[in-house]
Amino acid sequence: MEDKLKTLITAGTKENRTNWVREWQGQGKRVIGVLDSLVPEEVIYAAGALPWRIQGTWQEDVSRAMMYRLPQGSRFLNHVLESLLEGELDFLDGMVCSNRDEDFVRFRDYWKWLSKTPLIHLIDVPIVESEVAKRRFANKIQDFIVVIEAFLRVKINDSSLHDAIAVYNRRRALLRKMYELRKREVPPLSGAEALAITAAAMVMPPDAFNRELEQLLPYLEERRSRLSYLRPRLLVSSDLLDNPAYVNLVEETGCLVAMDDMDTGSRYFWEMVDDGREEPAYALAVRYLRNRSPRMLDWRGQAEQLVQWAKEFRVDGVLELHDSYDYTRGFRRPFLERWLKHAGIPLMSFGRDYHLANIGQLKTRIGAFLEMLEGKRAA
Amino acid sequence: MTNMKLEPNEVSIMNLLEKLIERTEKRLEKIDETPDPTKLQSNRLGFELELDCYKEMLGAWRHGKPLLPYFPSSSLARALGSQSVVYEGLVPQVPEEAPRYVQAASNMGLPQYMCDAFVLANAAAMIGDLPPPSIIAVCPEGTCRVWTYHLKTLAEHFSVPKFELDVPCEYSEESIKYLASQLGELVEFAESNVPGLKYDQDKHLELIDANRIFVNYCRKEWEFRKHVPFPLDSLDSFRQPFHREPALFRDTAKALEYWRIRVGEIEARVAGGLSKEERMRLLWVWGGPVYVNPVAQLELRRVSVPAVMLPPTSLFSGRIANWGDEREFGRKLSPLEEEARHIIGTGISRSGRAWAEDVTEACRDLKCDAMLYYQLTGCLHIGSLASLVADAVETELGIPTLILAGRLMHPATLSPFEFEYQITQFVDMVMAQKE
Repeated sequence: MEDKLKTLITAGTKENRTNWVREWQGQGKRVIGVLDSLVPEEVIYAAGALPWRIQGTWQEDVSRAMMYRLPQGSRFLNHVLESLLEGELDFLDGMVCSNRDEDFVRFRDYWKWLSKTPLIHLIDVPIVESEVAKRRFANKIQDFIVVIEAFLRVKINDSSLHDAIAVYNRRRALLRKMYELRKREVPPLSGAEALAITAAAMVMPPDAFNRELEQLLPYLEERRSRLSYLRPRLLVSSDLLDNPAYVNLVEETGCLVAMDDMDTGSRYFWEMVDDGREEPAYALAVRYLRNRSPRMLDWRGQAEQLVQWAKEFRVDGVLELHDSYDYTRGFRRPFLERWLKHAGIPLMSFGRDYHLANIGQLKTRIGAFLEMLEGKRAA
Repeated sequence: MTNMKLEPNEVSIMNLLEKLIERTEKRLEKIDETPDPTKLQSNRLGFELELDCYKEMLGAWRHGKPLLPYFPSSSLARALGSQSVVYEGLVPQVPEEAPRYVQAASNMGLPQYMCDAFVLANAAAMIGDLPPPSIIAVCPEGTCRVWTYHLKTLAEHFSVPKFELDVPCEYSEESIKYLASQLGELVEFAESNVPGLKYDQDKHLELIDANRIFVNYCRKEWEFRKHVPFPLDSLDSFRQPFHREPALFRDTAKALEYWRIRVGEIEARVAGGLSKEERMRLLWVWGGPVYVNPVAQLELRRVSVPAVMLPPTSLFSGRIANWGDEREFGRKLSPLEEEARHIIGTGISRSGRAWAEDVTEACRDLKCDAMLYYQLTGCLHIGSLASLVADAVETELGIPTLILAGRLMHPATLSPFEFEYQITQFVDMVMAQKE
């Protein structure tokens, strides 16, 4: 079972993440690239295509991309564009993204200009959770369904959408079970391993992933990870961080990443779709709007979620490892600092590149934070 | 921090409004003492309007009347019985304050890599140089999402009633209806939470009609801007029409009179013939630095800037539907739908390719030989499209673009020397190619 676990952990690595792409396209099926976690993947899956999470190149050199990109833009998108220009994403039959932020909207324009990807679609996701916004988002999901149907020449009815939701909800439930195990004093997985498994979920066919994790869960219940450090316990908060090496770096510096607040981690699966509703598009809208991303205006709700997770997972501090130019976090930070301070939870925030870089500097700063936390615990 | 009254006898460093009042009064004095026949005579009326506006804001601040910074639209603010305060339009007029606001922004943890128009405007408000809001509608005028987070930051800082809206990123009748329904909720919320605010639909309809007339004047002016040589000072192009839109002023009729006189003057200039030497025409896209005269070197070289293009310019060039237009959707829109149409339509709410087409058409319309795209630091809304737009104008019209990256208010990334050097090099190159 340990080998099975290792296989799943490495399924989302650069070397392996296109395995299922080849398999699906070999069967004449389509693969639709998904750029962010606000895209309702269930729609793509219900149409018989594979939703496949796009990553950027992890190499340092993005000079070709920077001919088009603003220096203060998302590092993640810089690296994705570099990948695109290198031809690494030519196999995609489509690319779907949300209007996660301004940069993503403009990035869609550049993708259209610079690539030959047959389908490029942007979903307008609201930034508030009002009832009128939910209804509108449901309409946008319906529009997305129509676009996918036309592109793939299939019909997506409520039944196929319900089936897809069921598969995805199962995946969410399994990942949550896995995360629950991380509350233990000696969890079965390191933070890096947990992120790697979520990364695998983003590139594997959902039913295949579900089977693998279902089989592994009993093993994980018994497993005790051979972690170097069990304290302090951290919660890592970030977005578009898809490289487990970052989390590994944090843990190697002398801590355990017990939980995360990441769109590539917990927020990818935490909320379920209420499948009891008659209108699956509306059910999807409700679920995807409840995403606690910093791009949403409910900063209070996001902070409360962080505090709750910090308590449940018994973390000693929150480490925000944000993309250096993620402005949604930039604006929210003063608010979050005040909120967490009031809750007695130390917060440290560092900007980072997309690829693993400035390792020495990061280790020094993280190390200082961990020392502070240790001192606090000792006192 | 709450909405506070200024005590009339409070002696302190002048706040920003007081500075602007003093500066505008001096400007009017100078115009009266030494009128410049080469400038439009209507400029005086324009500055009078601005003075009225600043005094009204200061008066409201001093007497604790509601003020609505960045309200989704100035006409909606007026229809509620208040006044919209455009912070990011005021702050760039005092570039000498930039270092102080930069420091304040840094102290408050505001993200400094974003567009300084908003960061510094927020800082100015948060340190008390500008009136505090009575309510914040977290809704950009236009579809700039960064604007949204600036408003959110202000709302959290001032602890005033806030209403959060979702502005769709794409333009359609459905988007307009969606936003209009939220604006309706905003109006109810504002009336319930801010004493003194009451929505007057008749007033709103009047203002919408005034907006329509104003845009028609701007469209007429656009036609004159096509004239060779350009009939105005290039510096005039940097004064955006929407900074003098009627609803910003209490006396709407006076504002419309200003536009009538202005356009009449320009028409007379064109009809009378112009002997100005013009060697080149340059379309400027986005804004420019306010810490240096953007056109000084251009004027020396007889280069005209017939327009400074921002997304709302497409309203004035006729590519976006005017207020009251019934042809677009085959029906009359409600007042709130008109506002929604304006909010969504005057951002880049269509694709980047559509923005590139707008810019290309402006170049063609205005007979431009080249384009300067000012890539404002951190501007993901407009600045990030520089390459795409430059490619479009090159492909369609064969004209070159200079992309200059810099800030609005302080020379941290582009010194005045470097700015002027780059422009002059580019202009000299284009002229050499022309000849």
